[in-house]
Amino acid sequence: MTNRARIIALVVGFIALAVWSQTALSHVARRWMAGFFEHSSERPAIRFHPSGEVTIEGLNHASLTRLIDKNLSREEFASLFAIYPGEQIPESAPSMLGEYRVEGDAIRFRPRFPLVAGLSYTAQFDLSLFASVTGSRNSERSLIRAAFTVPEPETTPAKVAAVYPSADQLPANQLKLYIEFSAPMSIGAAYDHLHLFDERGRELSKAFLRLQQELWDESHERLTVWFDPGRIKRGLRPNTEMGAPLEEGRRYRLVIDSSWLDANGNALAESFEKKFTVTKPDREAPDPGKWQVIAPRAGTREPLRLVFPEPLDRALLESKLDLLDDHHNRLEGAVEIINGEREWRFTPVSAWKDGSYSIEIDAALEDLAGNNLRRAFDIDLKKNFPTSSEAVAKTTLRFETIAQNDGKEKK
Amino acid sequence: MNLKRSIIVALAAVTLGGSIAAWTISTANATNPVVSEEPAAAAGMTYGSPDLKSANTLTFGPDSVLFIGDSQSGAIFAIDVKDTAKDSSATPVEIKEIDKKIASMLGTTPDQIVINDMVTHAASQNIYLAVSRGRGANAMPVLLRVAKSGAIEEVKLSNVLFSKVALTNLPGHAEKTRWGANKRAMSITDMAFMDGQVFVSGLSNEEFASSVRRIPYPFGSEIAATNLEVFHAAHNRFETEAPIETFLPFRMKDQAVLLASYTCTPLAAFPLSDLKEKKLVRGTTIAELGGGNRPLDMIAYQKNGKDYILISNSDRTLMSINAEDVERAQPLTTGVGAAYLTAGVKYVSVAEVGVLQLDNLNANHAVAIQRNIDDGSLNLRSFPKRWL
Repeated sequence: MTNRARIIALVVGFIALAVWSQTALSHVARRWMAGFFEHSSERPAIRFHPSGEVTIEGLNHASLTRLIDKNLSREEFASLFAIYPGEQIPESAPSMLGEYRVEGDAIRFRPRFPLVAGLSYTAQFDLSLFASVTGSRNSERSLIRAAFTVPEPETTPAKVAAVYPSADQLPANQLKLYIEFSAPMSIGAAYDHLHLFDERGRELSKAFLRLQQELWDESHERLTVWFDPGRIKRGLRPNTEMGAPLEEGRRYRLVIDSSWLDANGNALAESFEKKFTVTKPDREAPDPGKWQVIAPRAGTREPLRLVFPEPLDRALLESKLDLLDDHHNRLEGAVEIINGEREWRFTPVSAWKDGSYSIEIDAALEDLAGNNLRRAFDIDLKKNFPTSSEAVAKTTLRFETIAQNDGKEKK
Repeated sequence: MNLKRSIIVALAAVTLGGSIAAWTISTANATNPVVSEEPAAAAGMTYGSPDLKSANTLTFGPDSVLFIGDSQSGAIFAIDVKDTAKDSSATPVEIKEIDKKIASMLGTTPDQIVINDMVTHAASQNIYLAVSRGRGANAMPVLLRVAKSGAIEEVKLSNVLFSKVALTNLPGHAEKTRWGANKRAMSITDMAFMDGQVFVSGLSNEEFASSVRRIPYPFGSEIAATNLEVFHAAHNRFETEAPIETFLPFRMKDQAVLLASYTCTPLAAFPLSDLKEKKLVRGTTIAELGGGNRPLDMIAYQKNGKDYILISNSDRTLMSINAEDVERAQPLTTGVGAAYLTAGVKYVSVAEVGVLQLDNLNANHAVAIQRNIDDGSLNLRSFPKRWL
């Protein structure tokens, strides 16, 4: 046999042995070959993928096969390959939750929770532990580390879209404010960014009730803030000691500072200011009998107008009024609340018919001071003793459309 | 010949090796979890993934049924967490910087972790935390279990036995506005389980009202919740509604009461029998615990064979109240003379501040999540009851 033939045979034999060693057939051959491959392979590398997955790639296939055989728990995988939020490996904190799997020449980690835009993450792979777990040869103790910052998409900062009540005169026992934003906000720090100043420029402390759970709507675009009800109710200790937060005849300034962060972590585009003066406290329940109903003309889609003698609660105006035809069918249409929450307009989808309609008012509708149709916010029990909360559930106002060619308004 | 033989052997080996390699290609252990077809632990529960939008309040019901109050969906979920461990020891548990540990596990920063509630499973002494991951609109609810060893793990909420009751579908509550996006939300401020019923206090972001709802458990197809307004004695002449921040069902000698504390007024007691029968219940104010403060949590505990009540506060120390004093309490009908003064039932000011979450751990310890005022760290700690 020539030398050349010998070399060819050796090479082919070696290839055969290599392939054989990768199968589960021969542990001896596999172990023998593993050392050769590990020394010849590239150093493994960590990669962060746009999907949020993190991989350690370039691992020896035989070792990975042995790793699969070991059927590691999540915790055991995490001791090999751990991912942490931040730019450093914390001293005593568990690594991120997620799923591990072996695929090709890599261990893949899929985080349980999406990575946070703008935040850095650090991954660490313990190569020597990997070697000892998989029984492969690796003399050096080595840790492979890589960090990555999740790119932050450019977002438009939110701003205050509106504050309700929109009127610039509020009763001294004003109960609520609604703050509407143009985009979702972050939660948990609201009260730090709301400031109330009196006319001398002094900031009033404890004007608003700090609730454990801030009162956001589901989209986190509207916050409800209460003036401390304990200071509004007559006879309650905070009212006696500190007085109502707002004093009749005085001017105030509500400031929403721009350091408030929106849901994307942007500061507000600008700060917001609302000036108002305070009128006498309102201790009367709203009376629908005093509302002005401006009926539309039959055959048109002009709005039905309801004009109130006082502003009513913005949010409740959106949900506590309903419109029914004379067969008690609810009407579809669009609602507009204008003129400082003193007017409610309803434009139907289809034209008004000749005849009568009714407006159904839920008794939970409140004015600015939290008086609803059932009871005033402050009840003097010596005068007015409520017996049942369900005494009045609904009030109905009827109106008739104006017959065509009849220009008169009906009340 | 030698060459030929070598080649044949090599080729045979290659072919054999290749085919075997192809046959034994390594695959990840794709074992699918098998759903055990065991009978539902409680009536009305089915396997599935509860669609929690937030996890705000926790309380345990029978066995290992955990009630989760979800303010964002306005619903209560009953979930069987299958906690069958037993621990009758009286040892404490301590976890330093728990917010950092949780943040690391959930892949975010500690300022994006909000621990909304904490409850201990009495039989196993495992501690459950309702956590919010993130503060923005994409915040995610997470349920965590903390073992005595200090190990924290996520309680997976997929393919679990659960049932759900929606609070917004109750009579008198519009599901949604017909004129636009529904912005109405209900915050569930506290929850307790007693005599087969879940008591729920809540707060609306629109109308101002005080309510304690009772929901019979197991949740029926018919929602038998009663909407209650709670009027309570304030001071002097006026009585008004106020939302409840935290409450505790409590058995006294002659009756069961609901001890409630308010965002703006003091501690009041309501007979539970009234709550079961009437639409409108008038409670009795028994203590003014001092203004400028919000009570956060209330638990009942025993020391030397006697009953006590422990209250954690936003701006005051832990307060310990002797249950006998509550039983003997006279209604408070006059206000206090100056800011921050107290009146009515006396309490002992326990020298612990910054207790944000509080529950019983075992016979000898209460467990708390406490903000350390020296270094600002947030820690899970145990308090020996003999010192409370």
